[in-house]
Amino acid sequence: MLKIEKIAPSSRIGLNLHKAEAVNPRYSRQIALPEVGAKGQKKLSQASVLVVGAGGLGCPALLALTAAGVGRIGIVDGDRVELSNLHRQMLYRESDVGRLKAEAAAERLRERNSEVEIETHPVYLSSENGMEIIGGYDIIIDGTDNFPTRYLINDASVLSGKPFVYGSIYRFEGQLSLFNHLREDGVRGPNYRDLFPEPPPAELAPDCADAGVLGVLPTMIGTMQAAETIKWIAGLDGLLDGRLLLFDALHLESRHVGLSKRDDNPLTGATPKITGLIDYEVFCRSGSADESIPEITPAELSEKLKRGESVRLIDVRSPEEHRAFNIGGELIPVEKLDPDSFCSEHGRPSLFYCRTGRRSGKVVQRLIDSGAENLFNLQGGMEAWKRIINS
Amino acid sequence: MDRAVKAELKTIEAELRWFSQLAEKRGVRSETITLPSGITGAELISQLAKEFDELNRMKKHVRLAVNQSYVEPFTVIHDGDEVAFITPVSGG
Repeated sequence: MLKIEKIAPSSRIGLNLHKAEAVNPRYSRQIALPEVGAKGQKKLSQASVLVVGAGGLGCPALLALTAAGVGRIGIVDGDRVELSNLHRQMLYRESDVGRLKAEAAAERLRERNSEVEIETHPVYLSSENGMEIIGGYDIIIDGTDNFPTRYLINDASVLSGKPFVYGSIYRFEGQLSLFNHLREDGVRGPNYRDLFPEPPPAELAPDCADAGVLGVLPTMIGTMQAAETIKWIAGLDGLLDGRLLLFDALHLESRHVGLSKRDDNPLTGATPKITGLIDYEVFCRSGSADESIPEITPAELSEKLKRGESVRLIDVRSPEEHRAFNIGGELIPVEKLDPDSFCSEHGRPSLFYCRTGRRSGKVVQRLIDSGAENLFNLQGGMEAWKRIINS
Repeated sequence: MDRAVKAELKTIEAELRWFSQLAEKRGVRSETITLPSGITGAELISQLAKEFDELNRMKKHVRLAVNQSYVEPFTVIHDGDEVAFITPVSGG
């Protein structure tokens, strides 16, 4: 008896290892987990994941999913690599600065794992392309950095019946959840509109460029998004369906908040009002508290420039941000702009811009307060310009 | 405070938890405050917003969680409840 007992466990281990290696030695440590096994690995190899945004959250998520052996991974990002990305977006090298993120990321990921099919979509996700791109994948990862795209991903995922893994960060804090998950009873879990029915005005929710961010925070949250995705694909327990994770990297604390579905959710509530994608730039501006600031939309500016109208453009960002991408005009960084010496021009509007429209909006307000006229802010800044005009 | 005494004074104690910019502006991540009994989440936000500018600016967009569950604004806060103020963040 004793002899048999001794032999039996070791032969079982031997058999397991043999089985794992017969599948693929690359994933043997993952297959060794009883919760994953050869079956879970097969599910991963047959799954497709779309990562929207190859930035702070997207880079670590992409790396983890590629390493784990997901069959097909799509990357959506119309942006290019900037020097200020490198402290947290670990897929990029110094020599990648200026390259399309989707392409630089795909190149690095194919080097990591040639068995994974990497698809690039070097465009901004929009109301026009959203349904088609999202429709081509099993599960979506939200790695964006702005509210219009978050609501777009939410709506397109819900309308296409796809789950999506939400992640968002602020300085040292992150939020994470699995939205629109199809439960065993056939009911879908809450989505982003159940958590935040309305977007806050841009000036109340600073992004990483304005607020700063600890480089490792998006790495942690993005990796957790990948973990959630792998769990979903492999059929593991403990999904963040109906729960929001609030993570604090400064105090290394995390809390969960239970989420419920709202009756007034315009997509999934009692009387759905949204049945197709809408204009998310307009939707996210609706709650703006600063309606007093005169603004021009990227589309209006583009029309003015096409018609040959004279507009004085002023970029208030840093020289580094200006060099990376600009639409021309003067560069007067916000800290160098003196309201007393600024002269507005009669008959020629001065249009201020920055990355998101927040910094330039404050500049316009300050100049108007000190008596300047004929000034405008570019709504949504370069981010909106790139999404609307350059996509 | 003794429960009987509190009932007589018609007050409750709640633990507030702040996140992101609200925690930064408040200067603390959690605090215990005394509130009139029967106060709802919406009333709590309006009362605090009178002396907390950042909450006043964010009040339309703050979501409340009581005892780690998301609640509607009309939910009554009870003695010993933990009330978390969750704000939308957009970074990535």
